[in-house]
Amino acid sequence: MAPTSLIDAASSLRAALGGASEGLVDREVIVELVALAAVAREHMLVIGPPGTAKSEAVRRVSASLGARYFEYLLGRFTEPSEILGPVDLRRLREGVVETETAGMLPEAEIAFLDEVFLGSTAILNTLLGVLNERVFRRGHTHKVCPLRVCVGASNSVPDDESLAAFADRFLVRAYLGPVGDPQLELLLEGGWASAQPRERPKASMADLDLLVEASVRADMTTIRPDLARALRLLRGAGIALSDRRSVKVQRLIAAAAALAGRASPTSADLWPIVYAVPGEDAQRMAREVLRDLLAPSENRALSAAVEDASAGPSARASRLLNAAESVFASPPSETDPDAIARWRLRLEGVAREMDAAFSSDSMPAALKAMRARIVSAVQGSA
Amino acid sequence: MLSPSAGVTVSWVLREPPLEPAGCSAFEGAAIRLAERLLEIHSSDSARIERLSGVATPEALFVLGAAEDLPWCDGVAYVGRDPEAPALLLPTTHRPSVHPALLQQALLRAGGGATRLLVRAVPPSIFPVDRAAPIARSLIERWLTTARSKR
Repeated sequence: MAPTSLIDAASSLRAALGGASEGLVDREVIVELVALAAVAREHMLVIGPPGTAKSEAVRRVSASLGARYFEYLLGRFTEPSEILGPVDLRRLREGVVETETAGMLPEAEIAFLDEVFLGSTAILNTLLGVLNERVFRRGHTHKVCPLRVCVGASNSVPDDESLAAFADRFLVRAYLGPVGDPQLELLLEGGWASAQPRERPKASMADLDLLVEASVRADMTTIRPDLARALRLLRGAGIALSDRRSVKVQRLIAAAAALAGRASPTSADLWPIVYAVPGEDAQRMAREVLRDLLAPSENRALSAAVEDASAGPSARASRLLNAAESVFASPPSETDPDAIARWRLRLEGVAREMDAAFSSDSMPAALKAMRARIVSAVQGSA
Repeated sequence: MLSPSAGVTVSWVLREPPLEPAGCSAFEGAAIRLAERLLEIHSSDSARIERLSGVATPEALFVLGAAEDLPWCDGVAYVGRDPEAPALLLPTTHRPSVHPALLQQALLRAGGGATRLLVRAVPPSIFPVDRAAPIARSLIERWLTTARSKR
């Protein structure tokens, strides 16, 4: 069913992203940034060691949207046809060089390219056209690509200057490490559970397209002074975004507003600027430098990414509200005391974070109400 | 309980970001609920209890441990470590109006020889927790019996 409003589309995507993150530990930010990049019509680079669920996160976002998905692990000897499609031999006999793209990258709506910098010059040059213009050109083939977002992954960003121009096409940058020791049990539990088939909430490409439209139409007038201030603060700290990145970060801000159900960006939507900063250390510094400016950051659909970027109270409150709602949405069977005990532990974990993060005076009203609900539920399950 | 010495006037302001919890405190009714919760954890998750340590006074309970192991019940307050004052456990949500290192210096001087102090903002008070011990079931049960009899 087509979404009837921006709010509907944002809610639908929020539910889908929540479902896509289930069972993934510490990867909610990646899931949410893929959605942000897709709405902004930009691409994303994930830097991290192998085996850190990068492709799983992208695959889940794609499945949650019902998108046509393409994934490939590039190597030094990968042929262009392995990604773009083989040459159509029938047409070649007629003297026409056309590429058969069915099921390949030029027909994908969401793509994941692992070890993206290992591709040959031929592959990277063709990819530039696909990423920049959403057009695939090869021989006599000239095709408009439905690509919403391409996620590239690599262990590190190469120093090679010849790859810098290609790397710069990925506006959103995320840096990943392995799951920390305290979350190993969650990782094992989530990994096992994710192998079991289960129904997850879904949005649609129509929802995504409505959000893209809203993002394109966003009125950036009121937010530009804050963005300029943020860029000056970053420059003052020695973090200079290129002119291209500075201009393009507006797309991320507009996309954040659309995903929050807002027709125009506010100070709550500046946070994506952190993810446009290239370099893990530079992003860390950017969070510190922009801490006060990003304090009002908030987005219920992208709560993990917002909190990661801003470490602000509004973002924290959103994340805790989502966490509590997620626990209440999956109540235990009343005849299973072990399940009831586990459910209670999850609620207590959320309540502990609430009380450790907010005093009774500073706790937002919505969070206070949720806390009261938790107190009642825990007393009832004791 | 020791009261802070005269000459240390401290007010508290909201702290952003909050400290990572490293302990919790509960007084009076909340302490009874905390004790009951600790007994439940004793029965259901002995490994978690072994990772915790505690201190009891007639009116209060203090539990120390990693954030994800700390118990929760309504009325419990959380404390954490500020890197500038590692000997103090401070409210996670507020920072002192004086530099934490100065506060630590003043409170340790007033602390009667304790090397680790839990600080309560309201009412202003400090509690030595350097002798935190494993949370034995028998000790909790005995504390609970005494606390209930007083109410």
